[in-house]
Amino acid sequence: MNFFLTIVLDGLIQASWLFIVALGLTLVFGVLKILNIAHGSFYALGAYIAATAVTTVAAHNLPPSVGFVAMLVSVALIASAVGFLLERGLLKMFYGRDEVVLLLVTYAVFLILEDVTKLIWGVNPIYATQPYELFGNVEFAGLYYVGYDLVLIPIAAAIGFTIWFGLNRTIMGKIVLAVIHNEEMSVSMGVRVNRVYALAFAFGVLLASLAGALTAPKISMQPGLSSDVIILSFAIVVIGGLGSVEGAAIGAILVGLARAASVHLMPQAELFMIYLIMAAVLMFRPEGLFKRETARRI
Amino acid sequence: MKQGLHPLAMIGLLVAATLFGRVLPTWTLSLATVAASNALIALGIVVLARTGNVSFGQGLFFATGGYGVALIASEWGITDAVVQVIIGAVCGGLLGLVIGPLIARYSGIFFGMLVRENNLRVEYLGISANRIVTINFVIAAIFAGASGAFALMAQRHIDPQFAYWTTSGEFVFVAVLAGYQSVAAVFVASLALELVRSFSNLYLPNTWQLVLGVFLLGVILFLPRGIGSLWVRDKRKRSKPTIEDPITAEKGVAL
Repeated sequence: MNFFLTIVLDGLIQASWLFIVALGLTLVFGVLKILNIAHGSFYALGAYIAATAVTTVAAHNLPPSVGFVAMLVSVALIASAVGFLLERGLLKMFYGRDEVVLLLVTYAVFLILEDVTKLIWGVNPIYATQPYELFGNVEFAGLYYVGYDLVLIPIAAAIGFTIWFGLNRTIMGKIVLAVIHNEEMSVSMGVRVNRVYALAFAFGVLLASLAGALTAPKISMQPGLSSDVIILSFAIVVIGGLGSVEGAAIGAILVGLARAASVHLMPQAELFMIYLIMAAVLMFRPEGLFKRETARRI
Repeated sequence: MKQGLHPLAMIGLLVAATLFGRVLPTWTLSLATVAASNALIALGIVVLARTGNVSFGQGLFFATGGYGVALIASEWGITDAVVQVIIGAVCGGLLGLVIGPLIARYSGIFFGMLVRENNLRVEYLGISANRIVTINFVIAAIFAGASGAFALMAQRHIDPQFAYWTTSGEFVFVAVLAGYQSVAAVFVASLALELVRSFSNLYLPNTWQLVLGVFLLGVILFLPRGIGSLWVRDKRKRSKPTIEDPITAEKGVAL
């Protein structure tokens, strides 16, 4: 029983940060129809920036709580600026071309960011563990957990709810949904689609790098971080259905549980398990679990 | 395709290149081998790209070919290069036969959208779009498998990195650089990449991907149909790709 609970809790902790990453990916795809290969790089960028913020705060002998806040704020500011500038400065030039072209552009961005992080932060592992002790240790049904890990779960849930609420219950959200459903019609109704694009992309980057920041105290930052994360988040959005918030949540939970289960039962099959779930879902629902079938365009 | 070199001229060039290899220093030879082997995979990606799909998964077949050859060759003591290449191609092709039909169903999800050909329209013509994608996929897998055998011969070892998606990304890069119109362009592009890589390793080891990324953006921006378009003229009149591409223009009237 305890063993089962361990897997579920570990899975949910994994799912929490994966969900935040996948949410950004699915949002960018929904609005801009871009499958963003560089999404993992933004996660890595967030993690690295967070590390710098945390170590700077620690160097000034300030408490870890200040470091925690500092890393979130600095990542939020830098990431949304990077996202906005990238969309306005680069992606915009390729609108109207094949979706495959945009995919390749994001691949180029991935390559560039990979080396930019190396140039700024070097190739050796970086740690930012100070905030990890912030919430102490928690005993939960006989199991000991790091409080920080458990806190991630409500944070992810809150972010998910905020996005869902923002999309479905606010005017801005309705406008974004309108652009997702039919861009042409939105333009003719007076929606400034360009602005929605820029905001959505910046927001997607923000989510990826926030997830990076939140996981930064748990992991070591080193090259290769981004290419692993993008695989996981692709799997999640494919399972859940590209462009769907609920799908990202269910996909993240499935992938998180699969990872946790295979780590405890069969470590060498970790990635294979995820692909197995993905293949199983796609066998029966090629569009993913939560995406509505769309009419094929002639 | 239509206005490529005469086959005899191509064979002549090939023979000339092989003879030329005798007088060059050995490092260029190993570089050219790696380039040719990469070009083979990129050629598969180009074939696939003609159906509107870009695959970041060719590394799988590349690795399958390589591992297949490595295991079978060491088990049965096969050292003949031609047989090894055939084994690699068969291994890649078999896996392609298993995965291809599955992937073809979801090509929209796996590769980005199917836009180069409008698959609904293709089906109205009585041809199965899935079958075309599958056949092209298997061809690409065979190429990748054979290339795995070549790479194994050139590098004398194989590791799981062969199958990682960033490895496949480099093949996609070669395909984009080459464009979809010329087979020779794929080999030129691959050779260019290997040359740049060798010199980058010497002079800028940590900015190699940066160079690659910027270069890729440059190609997409200024040479959207690849270096092949420098010598193979498209039948369509040269104009801006946004106007030229009938599918993109069509999106405006869809639904």
